[in-house]
Amino acid sequence: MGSRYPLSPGARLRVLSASGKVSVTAEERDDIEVNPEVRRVETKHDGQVVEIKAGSKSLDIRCPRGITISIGSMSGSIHLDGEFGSVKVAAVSGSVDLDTATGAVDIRNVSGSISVHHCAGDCRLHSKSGSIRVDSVEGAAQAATISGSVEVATAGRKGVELHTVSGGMKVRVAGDKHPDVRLRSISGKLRCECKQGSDFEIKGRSISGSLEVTGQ
Amino acid sequence: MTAAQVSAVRALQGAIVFTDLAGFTEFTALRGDEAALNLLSLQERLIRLEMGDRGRVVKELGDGLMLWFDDPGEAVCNALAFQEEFERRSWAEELPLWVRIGIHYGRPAARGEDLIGHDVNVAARIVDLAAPGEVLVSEATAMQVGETQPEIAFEEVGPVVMKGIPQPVGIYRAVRCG
Repeated sequence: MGSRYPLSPGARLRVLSASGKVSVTAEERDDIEVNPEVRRVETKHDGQVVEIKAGSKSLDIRCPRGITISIGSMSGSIHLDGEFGSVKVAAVSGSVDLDTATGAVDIRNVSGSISVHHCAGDCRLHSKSGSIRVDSVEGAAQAATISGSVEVATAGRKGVELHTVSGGMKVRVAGDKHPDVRLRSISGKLRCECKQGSDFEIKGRSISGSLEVTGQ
Repeated sequence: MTAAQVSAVRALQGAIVFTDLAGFTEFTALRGDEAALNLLSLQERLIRLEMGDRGRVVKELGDGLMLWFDDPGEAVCNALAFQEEFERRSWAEELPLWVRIGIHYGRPAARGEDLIGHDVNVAARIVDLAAPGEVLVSEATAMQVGETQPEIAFEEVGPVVMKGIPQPVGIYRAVRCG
């Protein structure tokens, strides 16, 4: 067993990692457990932020379900399992995988891929060279990548705005929704296979990547 | 560096701005060098037009620019105005004016017209995290601007651990209020 730290109600978790894999599991509990033990765990802002500085260790963290979390990492993969509140990740390299967020999601990764299983809030994702995949987003979605591909499945309640340069882009729209679709590409193929309307807006732009919108 | 050159280095205080044109390499490959040069020229022309004498172009960096503003509030206001104009032109003229912008407030050293130092390196790292159309700023910039620009809000992006930068840097996304 690693170290356990009490958590004030509503407190946020912040993790800083230079390198090494960071795994965080949100589950039924009211404290934070860190494996292996790390020396640099601080409580800040009157107990409202618990900050873990991992250095170059790989970390396994267990925290309460629904917690708001932010992670800054230079290298090493980041794996977020379970249901979180809002999620913010800024990484330089290594993949980022998120299971579920009930709030807003903002993930930036310079050279790694980004994967989100479900986001109930708004979702903003950016990777310079990695691919981006969102299995389900209920809020607005913005995603941009230079050389990777983008795949987003939207519930169709709020707008979707995507940029790719050379990677392909696919948007899947919930069956009962009819988007206003605007696609622009210099040389990529454009394809829209869902009935258009005014339920919400999809804006997709690429330089050479293909752009595709389909119903689910 | 000679003693005379060292003595010519001056410390400044203000905002360092980096812009980066996303997809420029692919655009050049598809449309050719002349179209690429025209796109770069358009980026610089729009920036100079909006910026006026509130800031200056420090240097050109391939597909981006390095800018300097004495006033960080002006830097953020201008950067948002650049993005609004780039977005309008992108759709109207079908040009990929997809610009990423990063800003850091600090104390770089001036060597002639150029700027060097730790704070320049931080600003250069911030732009790497920005998506096309975004303006990301360091916590130092957001703190300096504070409430001096009521039309601008800062949304927290999170702490970033940057290569070669010893302390994590808090990053914020600048947006227009309302």
